[in-house]
Amino acid sequence: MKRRLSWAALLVSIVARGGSAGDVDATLAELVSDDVGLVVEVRELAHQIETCVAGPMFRRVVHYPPFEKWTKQNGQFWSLLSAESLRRLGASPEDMATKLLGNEVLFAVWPPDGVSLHGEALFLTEAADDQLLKTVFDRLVAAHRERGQWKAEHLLDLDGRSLVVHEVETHGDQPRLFLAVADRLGIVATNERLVRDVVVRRTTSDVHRGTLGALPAYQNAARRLAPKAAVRLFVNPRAWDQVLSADLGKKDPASDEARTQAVVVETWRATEYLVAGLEFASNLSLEAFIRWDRHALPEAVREIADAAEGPSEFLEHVPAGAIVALAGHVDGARLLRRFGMPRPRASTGATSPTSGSSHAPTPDPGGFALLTLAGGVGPDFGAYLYTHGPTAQAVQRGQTREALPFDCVVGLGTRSLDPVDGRPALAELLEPMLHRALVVAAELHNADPSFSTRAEVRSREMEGGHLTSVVGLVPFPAGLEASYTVVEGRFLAGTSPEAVGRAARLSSSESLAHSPRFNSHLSPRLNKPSQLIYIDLTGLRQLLGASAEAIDFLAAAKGLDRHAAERSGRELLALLQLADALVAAAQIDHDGLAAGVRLVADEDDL
Amino acid sequence: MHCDEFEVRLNEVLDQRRQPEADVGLADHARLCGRCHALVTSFQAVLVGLERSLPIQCTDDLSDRVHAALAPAATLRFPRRRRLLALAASAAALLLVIGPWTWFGRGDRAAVPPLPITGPSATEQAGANSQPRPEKEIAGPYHTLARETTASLSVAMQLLPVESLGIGGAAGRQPRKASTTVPAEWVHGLTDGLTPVTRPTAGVMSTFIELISVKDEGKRS
Repeated sequence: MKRRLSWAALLVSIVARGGSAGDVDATLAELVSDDVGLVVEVRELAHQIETCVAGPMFRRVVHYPPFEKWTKQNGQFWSLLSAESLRRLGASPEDMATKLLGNEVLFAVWPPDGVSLHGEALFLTEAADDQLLKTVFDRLVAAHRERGQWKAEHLLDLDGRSLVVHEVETHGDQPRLFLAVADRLGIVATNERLVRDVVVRRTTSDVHRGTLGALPAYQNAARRLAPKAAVRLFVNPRAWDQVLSADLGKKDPASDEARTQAVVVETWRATEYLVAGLEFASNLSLEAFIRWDRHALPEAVREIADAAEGPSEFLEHVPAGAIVALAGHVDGARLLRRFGMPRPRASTGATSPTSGSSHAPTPDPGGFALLTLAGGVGPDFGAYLYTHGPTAQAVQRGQTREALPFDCVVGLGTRSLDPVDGRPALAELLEPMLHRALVVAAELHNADPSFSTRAEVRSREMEGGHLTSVVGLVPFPAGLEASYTVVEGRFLAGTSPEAVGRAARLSSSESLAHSPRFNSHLSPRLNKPSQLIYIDLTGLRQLLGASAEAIDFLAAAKGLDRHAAERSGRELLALLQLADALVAAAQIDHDGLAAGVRLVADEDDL
Repeated sequence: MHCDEFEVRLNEVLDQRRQPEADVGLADHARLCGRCHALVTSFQAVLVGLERSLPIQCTDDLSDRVHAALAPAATLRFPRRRRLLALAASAAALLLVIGPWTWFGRGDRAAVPPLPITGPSATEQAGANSQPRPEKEIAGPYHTLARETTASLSVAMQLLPVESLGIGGAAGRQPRKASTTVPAEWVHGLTDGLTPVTRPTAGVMSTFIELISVKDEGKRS
């Protein structure tokens, strides 16, 4: 935590100093060969920091009480650190972030060649201040000289121009590093050849041939990220294929370890690229995308991907004002059939009915029946919390709606077990059984004299079906009218009949899927999520701040006393103030898997 | 077609809600392989059973019969903590007695007037969708509350059910047992499998960090 806060303190001091590098094209990828294994790039760091510090989220952070407390306690430490950096390197941390690393930075790693355990690596920075860059590099070299870690000086002759390259040792068992400064470009590499290649590419007009910047996978990967992504990770799987195969070859093929790794390696081979981006200028957002060739995936991975592929339609059934929403899309029946059934052992070919077979025993018919029944479940499901004001109906009925300060609704899509014969969806098939089970349970409850409350099952006609609710039945809390209905094959259950009725009648235009606010929080690259968690932190704050029952409910669930609950409630409210919405989403389609987490702060500040 | 391909193909056919016997490849292999023939026959038995199952009208005295069947259990004095189990068992027994392939009549439901449920009004929806939150709603209590909060995140997390994440709360601070679940094994397998990628990467990153954290033996000016 302290480390994170120290970064925030760095940002504050940078604002005080100012400094922006302006717009910069990503050119460093043109200086790196296309056989690179992994690349981390930082683009326009100075500008990103400036935007971040002027944004609503940072303004909230600096007013966050624990942060304020930390800055008071550690302000002197930060001053000392800054002074020490200035003394040793000739640049303060804020100068390094803006003038040294503020334009464009690239860090590249190549896999080991089989001889050495270490991979090769290259660090490049296009500095905004070439004098500061030279000063810092000179100080670094001087420091290594003092420590006896400076090893040699090499002179590269490039078309009549000479470039000084210093060779230093950082640690005995680690590769040596080669440092050079070419105009505004700072270069650190694990071998002299990498330095030379960079400088040659920079001075050659034919810069595109064989470079990372010209690699189609890299170009496609860049398009999968937000343009504002400040930190970008690109993994080139092809560069690692050989070392992964070699490592797998050292293991016993019959071992569990080798079998698991074989799946990993096979998946890796089917992966065209992996890319991730971090954005922090206005909102905090981390996104990743794995592009794969679906047909080349190992069967187990492909089955899982296929089962979860496609957008979750449950979002169409979540009200726009939901404060917490979960939505998913998984074909459970498919997974059950693949992973829940005994599998035949490896077979070399078709066998005749009379010949001995290597199959596992055939599952019993009951198992098949259950699996077939599971075929009617899903694939869309979800749940949401919705805050409600006191409705006229509740007031009229004088019911204690305070059992829960919010409504919770759970939904599960179902389908026909066999659509060919026109049989209804599974939920419609089972709904009467559930109703009857509740009636019997309530009668059993009422027949037991040890229960002080009386259970009651109520059923109401509503458009498209019945709405059933139950009160007084253990284990439901007193005052809670647990309810359910089935609409168009969807099973909906909730904490009040109003909530379930509202969910049943919700039109698509009133849903979260069509909410402008929700969609503005959703990444355009994840706008058809297969799995989603959404928390409206504004709504949650309002709920916790306005409803003592909400705190009481959470405190009761956690066994906290009143004092601890109130204190924790205050702290939680302050924490929730840092942002207005949290969205975590995953989207699986034919091309690959995209995932992201996004923390959004609206512009209206405190 | 091999036996393992047969099962994959069978799964695809079932996923597409088609009849397995209509697939030529499956049918050809099933004629040759007894085990695979048994496999597809089992599925077909279930599907045919579903098609042939008739709606069963539930009799009006079902509740009485279930009561009678459960009477000895119902008169037992369960400790309070077992009542839930007893009720659940009763419900489960009822479901099992009825069987999974039945349709029930709906005639004997309790007669309660329809509930006039109102959805969120247009203004509520508009407010939820587009209105910026009024400052006073959050800023007022927040500014007051914020001045009173100086403790760590763990206090804020006390109210939340985050034990499973090990973030906070009393239970969250307890040492967690080593997990032996299948997902945990997969995570271990994945990280182990990617070691040839992660190890050299971490190694060279460590080397570069060492470069700027060179020990200071110079004198202060």
